[in-house]
Amino acid sequence: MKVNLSSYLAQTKDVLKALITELDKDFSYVSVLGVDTKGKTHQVTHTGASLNDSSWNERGFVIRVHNTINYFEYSFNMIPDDLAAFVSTIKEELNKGLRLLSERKHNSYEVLQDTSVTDSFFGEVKVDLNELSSEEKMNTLEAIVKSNMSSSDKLIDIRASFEHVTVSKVFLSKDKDLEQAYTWSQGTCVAIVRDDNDTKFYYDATAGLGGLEYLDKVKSLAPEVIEGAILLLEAELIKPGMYDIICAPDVSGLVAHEAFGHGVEMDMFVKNRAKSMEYLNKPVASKHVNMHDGAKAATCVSSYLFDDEGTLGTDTRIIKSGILENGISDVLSALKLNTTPTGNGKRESFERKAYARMTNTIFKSGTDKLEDMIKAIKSGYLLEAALGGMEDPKNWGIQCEALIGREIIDGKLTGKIVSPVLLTGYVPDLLSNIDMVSEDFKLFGSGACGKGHKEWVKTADGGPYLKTKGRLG
Amino acid sequence: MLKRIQTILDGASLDGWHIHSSELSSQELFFVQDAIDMTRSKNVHKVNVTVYKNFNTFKGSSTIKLEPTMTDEEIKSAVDEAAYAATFVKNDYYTLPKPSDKTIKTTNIDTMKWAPDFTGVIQKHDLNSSELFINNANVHILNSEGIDVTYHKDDVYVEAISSGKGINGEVESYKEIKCASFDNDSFDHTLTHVIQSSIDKADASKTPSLENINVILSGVAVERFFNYYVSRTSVKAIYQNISTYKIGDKINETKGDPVTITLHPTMEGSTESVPYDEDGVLLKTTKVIEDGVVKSFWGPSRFSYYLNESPVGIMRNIAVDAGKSTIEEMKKEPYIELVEFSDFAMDALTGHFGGEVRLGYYYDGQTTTPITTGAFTSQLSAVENDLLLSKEITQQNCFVGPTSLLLKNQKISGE
Repeated sequence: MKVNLSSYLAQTKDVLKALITELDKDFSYVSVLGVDTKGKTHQVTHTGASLNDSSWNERGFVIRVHNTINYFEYSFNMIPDDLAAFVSTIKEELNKGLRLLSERKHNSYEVLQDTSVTDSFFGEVKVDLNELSSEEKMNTLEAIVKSNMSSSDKLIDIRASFEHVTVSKVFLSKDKDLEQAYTWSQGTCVAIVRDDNDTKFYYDATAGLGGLEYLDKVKSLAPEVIEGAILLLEAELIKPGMYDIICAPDVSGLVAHEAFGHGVEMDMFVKNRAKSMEYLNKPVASKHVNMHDGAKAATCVSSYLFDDEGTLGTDTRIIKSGILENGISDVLSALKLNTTPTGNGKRESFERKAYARMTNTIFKSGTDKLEDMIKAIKSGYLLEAALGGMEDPKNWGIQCEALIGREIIDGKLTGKIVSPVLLTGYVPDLLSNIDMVSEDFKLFGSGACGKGHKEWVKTADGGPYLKTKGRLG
Repeated sequence: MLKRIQTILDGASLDGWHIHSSELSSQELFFVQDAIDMTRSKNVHKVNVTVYKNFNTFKGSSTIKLEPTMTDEEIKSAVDEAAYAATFVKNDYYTLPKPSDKTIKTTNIDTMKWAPDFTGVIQKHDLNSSELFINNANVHILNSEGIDVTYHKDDVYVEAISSGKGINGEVESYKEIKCASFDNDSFDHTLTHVIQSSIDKADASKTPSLENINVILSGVAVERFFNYYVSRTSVKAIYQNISTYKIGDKINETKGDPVTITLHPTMEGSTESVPYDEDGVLLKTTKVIEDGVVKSFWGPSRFSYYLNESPVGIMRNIAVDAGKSTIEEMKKEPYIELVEFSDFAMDALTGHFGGEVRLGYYYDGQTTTPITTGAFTSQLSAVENDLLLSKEITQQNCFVGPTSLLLKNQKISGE
């Protein structure tokens, strides 16, 4: 089933075009991004429930103009009937910034030269979200919680949730007329267990472009997360040190994203904040490593036709056989660096600035088998259940946290678990030590990515099992 | 728009409603080094509406976001759909908060005039890059029980990045600065500190692996450390059995300093100062833990009802009492002071905490050396009984408390 463009955006396009025509009289570049994102979040826990609009919901616009020096943006979610008065309001806002610019040191930007393009993308949903009513969706989640709560007396809560979001966007300028609408959905299941005063949790999630099929997948997550949480009650703290490690696909995805992906966001190049600038066309990883990012690099929650600056999405090869080839960029960074924009200009919402951001960030699969990778380790850990991480593009430090480390001794999993596990170190060391890459591939899109400590956007990451060395704590 | 919404809500078949409206405006400046690279501004109106339906022994609710561009028909349709959805949300019955007799007035000031002031201080410093957001909000909260309160809120957010050069090459420091007013000296001092931090990191040695070492936590980690206790005294965590705290529980039987935590609706200079919480509950200062003993709970009125507690509301200004030791006394024995992590995490569920070390100082008994890299992780249960809090107090936006904490006999994963 095809996803339709928001009727509100379709109806508003003419007004937006009129606004652009008015502003075009005074400014050499004018564009408008219109967004109408709608979705619902359903959650059932042992002690309650909720059914609310998704936190990603938004309806509004951001207008970008070249203000004769550099770029000014104005975000708004009301369009007054009196367009002429509204144009005056926008100019007034612009002039506040311009006054400050003219008095202070500033950077200049050239005027963007858009190529003429009219295009549209309307995603597909395998199972229509309307096939189940709100009641039936909530009942499905309630059944997951109720049927599993009695499976262990250690369980204090199961949280089952399902979220679906339909993104509608238009991008308009003198030369561009772009439309897109797609739906992503995700389901999560969290189990919380307690034994005396020791409390642990485990989670799993499923996400991607599509609809109700992801609610179905939540059902299968519950037994596994309960087992995982109970297992964690027996977990010990790891003895800090350097180990041979295998990253499960979700941890590989986290490494791709945090350890390297942020470091090739090219707005960081403009600010001289990325160490990777010095390594373009040089080795940064072992020959086994191939890494990509892009709206077209994979099909998941961040697969779109155009980004939030009206640049068409691409598939960027970042690392080829260990050599750093390309970064990912927003349009203004590309303009400054004289490179081709890669369609990675993303905004948290219409209210925020666009930055160079990741989309679907992946390590490509290899040819090794997981069992051979385990056999190749004398003493180490298999890391699973990625929790989160933090980037360090300037210094290539790593912080990636996994919930589970499964001990490997003499080529076998011993059954002993350590938790939580913090993987730290220096990015090139970690990537250069990758000596085996499995034939598997999994993609994860249930998370969100921040830049620094803000600007949250939907991203996906993943890859195969990777065998390397890392410092664990 | 609120009148339109209220009329539609009054005409719908509901057992209660709640409106949270925010009119937001901002002026934003983005700097590369000391040059303004982009300017932005916004004017946005956001309205969240929650509708309630009683059924069986439950009170269901559903929250929707209404847009100012919605027609009456669209709003009515969204409200009807939410009312229908609320009948499948099986939450135990509770009552909605009622209005207070007291009204608090807040002052509306022209924060946008601060843009040149903040810009002046930013451009004076040799930063790599920075971002400045000057935001203000007019908030209006109404509910079907008669709550009808308004307040004004200002906040400034600065992200400052500094690069320092030294034996480790070019190294950067990252700092988020939040404040509710312009204080030239304070802002200038903070930026100077960010720059010094990057210089120290650039010349720092690799963190050594150490066992049985005293760890002194300073900076953002201190606030995050105490957030564990704050989250554990929330009525929501207690109702959900995430926290087992009871009034009168001794939470840190201690050879060190007992913990005392007070929540405040307002705090000088804090961006989290509000007279009412999201439900419209009038907030008042509440001591949640005193001398290591749980004194009272805080949190959303719904969960207070479940626990048969008077609604205290949600407050984000946290004050922790000072301890008995000076930082100088803490530093008499060998220690590692950790002042900057890539992202210090405290798991409110398990009590595990730590992160990758970006900057610290190691005192081996003779000399003090700046250190970087490596990781520190630990668990609250292993440290809280000999926890020492510094006598010195520091404010970081909505947190005022000990400048440093001493955790005894810890392990450091270094190189």
